[in-house]
Amino acid sequence: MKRKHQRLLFTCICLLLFSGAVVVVVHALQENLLYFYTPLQLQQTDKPLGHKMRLGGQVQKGSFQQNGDAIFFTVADGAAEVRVVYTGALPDLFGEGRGVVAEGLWQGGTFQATRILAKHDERYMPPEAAVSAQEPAS
Amino acid sequence: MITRLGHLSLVMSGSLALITMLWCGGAYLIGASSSVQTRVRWLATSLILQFWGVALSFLSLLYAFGTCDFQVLSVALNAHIDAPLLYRVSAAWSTHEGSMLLWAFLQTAYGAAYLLCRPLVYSGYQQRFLSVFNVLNGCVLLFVLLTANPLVSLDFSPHMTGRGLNPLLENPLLAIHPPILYMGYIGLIVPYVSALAQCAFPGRERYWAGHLRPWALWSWTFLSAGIALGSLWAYEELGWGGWWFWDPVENAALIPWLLATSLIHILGVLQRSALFPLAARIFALSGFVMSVAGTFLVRAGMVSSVHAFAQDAARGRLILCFLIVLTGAAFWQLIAYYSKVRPPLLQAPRNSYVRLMRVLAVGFGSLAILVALGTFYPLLHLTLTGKDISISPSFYNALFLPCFVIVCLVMGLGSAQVWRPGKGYTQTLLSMAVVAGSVFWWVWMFVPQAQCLYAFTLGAGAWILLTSARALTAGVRRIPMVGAHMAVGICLISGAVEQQGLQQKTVCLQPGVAQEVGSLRMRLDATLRESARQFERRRVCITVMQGSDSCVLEPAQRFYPLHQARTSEVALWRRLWGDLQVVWMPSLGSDEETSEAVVGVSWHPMIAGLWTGGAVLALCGFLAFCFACRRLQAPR
Repeated sequence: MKRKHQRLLFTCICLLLFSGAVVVVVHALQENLLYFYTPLQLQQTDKPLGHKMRLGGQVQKGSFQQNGDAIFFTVADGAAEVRVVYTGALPDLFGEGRGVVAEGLWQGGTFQATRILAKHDERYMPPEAAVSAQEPAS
Repeated sequence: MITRLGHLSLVMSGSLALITMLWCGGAYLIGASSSVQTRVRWLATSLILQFWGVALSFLSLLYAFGTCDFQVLSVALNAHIDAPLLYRVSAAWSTHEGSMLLWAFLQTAYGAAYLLCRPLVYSGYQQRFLSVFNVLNGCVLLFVLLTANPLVSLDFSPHMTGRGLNPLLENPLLAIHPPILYMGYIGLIVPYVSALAQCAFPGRERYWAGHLRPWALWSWTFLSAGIALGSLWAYEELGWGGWWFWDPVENAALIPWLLATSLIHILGVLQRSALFPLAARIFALSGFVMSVAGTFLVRAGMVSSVHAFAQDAARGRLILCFLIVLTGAAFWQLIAYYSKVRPPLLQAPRNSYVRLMRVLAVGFGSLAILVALGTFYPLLHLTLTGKDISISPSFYNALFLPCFVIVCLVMGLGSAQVWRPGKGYTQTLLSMAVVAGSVFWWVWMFVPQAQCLYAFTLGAGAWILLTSARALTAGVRRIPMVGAHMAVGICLISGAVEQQGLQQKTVCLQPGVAQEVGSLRMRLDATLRESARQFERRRVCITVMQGSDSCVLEPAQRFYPLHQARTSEVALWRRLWGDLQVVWMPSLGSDEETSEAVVGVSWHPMIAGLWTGGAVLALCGFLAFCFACRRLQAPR
């Protein structure tokens, strides 16, 4: 009987630990979720949102400014624009007219970015290469 | 011509796989009278022929890239006449299609290698192994032929210089990174198929574990090397010296690594004492399943990551189908095995070694589940609610790191098991615990801004190093295990010190004037401009002085006109106790020469320890592989 009680106790402790772990993990997951916003969605709220988020869109041409440490640019998605402020190194593929994802906080009027991600699409083909590939060999 | 030959041989391999699949499947269903012997022989020949076919086509692809045969579409899009040979050839596997052909090549190679290494035994296990392997080959070859064929050629031969590789990928580390990582990922297929076959034909567990262990060690070594190389590339290329971002693609490599680590330990226990057969099967099966899941993640374009290939939902659906079939087969066989054999689930552990291994299996399994949860949850959320989310790195830092450090404490105890029979075991162990504990207490109390986790990590690293160092005296046979454990300890300590001691600053340097930056003095000497065949390069020459040492660093910016892309070259001053990284950040969009330079300076203490630890880890894995092979060949 004692063996059976031992196993029961062991199973109960395991279940308790397991549910505790599940609670901790789910809580951490909820706290660290980063929602993805477009400039249009951010424009609709004027007050600063307390949680970190991601903002995605295109860097508007001519909007890039650098003032010593601080970097300013505008992210647009065709319907709205958001001004972004960032301190730090920009990834190599960052450029005006290119896609960008900024991670940070919405301060109400500007987006304070803590991380910038830029991606290169392998299907992007510059016009010259596309034209020459179409011409048949003479 | 050669590529047409390559294409043809690929088609033939694919059809051979299909034919063999249909023939064996048909024979099984009909209950034909052909013996196991004929079927095994036919399967073995088929697998070897498939390997030769795919090898021929892969070599023809490499040849096309090496000679810049622009009639092949893949070459036209990714190679450039002026690129060095290494980047021309590595472009072969940096696209989706080329990397899938690399996958097919390595998979068929593993099949042929298995046949080379094992004597051909005519048994149910062997037949099941070979036929399942053949089915998997068929699936991958079909996928490559129908959706991801890199050997597709144009009708004409265009006169062009080629578009060239994405400039970010032109780095020697990244050139060899895919083959090494894929060797690890795909190496896990042998444990998968082997576990499937062993579920159907259980018996001779110790023999099975002994023969599977070298395969598991081989793929574990390559996974470790691949992950370390990827981190090194990120550190040297991406600026600001980050080496781990909890990016979905990085996690996709970490999960199989964690499962493979569990596998090599559990197989050791199974070989020694015939315990945990079910756990061994679970880890073997889940390793390859998570490899394919990681592939799905990277190629389906559903998660935003800087590393991902271009989006294509159709590819993703096919890989998802393959993944579902793999997982379904694994669950089915596991349930069949459990209901047939009923292995004991919760045995009383015989000794502390078995107890430790159980904790390790649970620990690493949980870590793998945790990382998988964080990596795949955004995908789940997207499918269920349509909202795009991502998990920030602090989730992993808060949960994974403490659990990993606790598992490492157990690892230290594992090293201690090696010198257990010696006298004074308990006293030595206690004194080592006291030393590690005092390291923890001293760092927490007296190092400024030290958090509990940082002190805990350093204490755990000290504990591992102490217990493993003592284990070095146990004999040559133990060196791989002890070395690998010490390497993990070194990585823990270096990683923690680097993260804690990281300092970054942005300074604006004026030419000719030496500026104080922290404890350094930096002076901008010149801004130079030069052009190479594919790119234009602008660099700044900076002299950095610290005490009596000085170094000239030349961070640069490259501009590739064909891609309209910039990449930056980071300048590194590698010193004994850390690295100094200098990145030049010229103002975007302004091409005019300004006399001043804005640079980002970062100090990374003890980062060399991380790379040393990674190299030692891979080396010890390889040594363990060699020792395991030798053990197999030694007469009983």
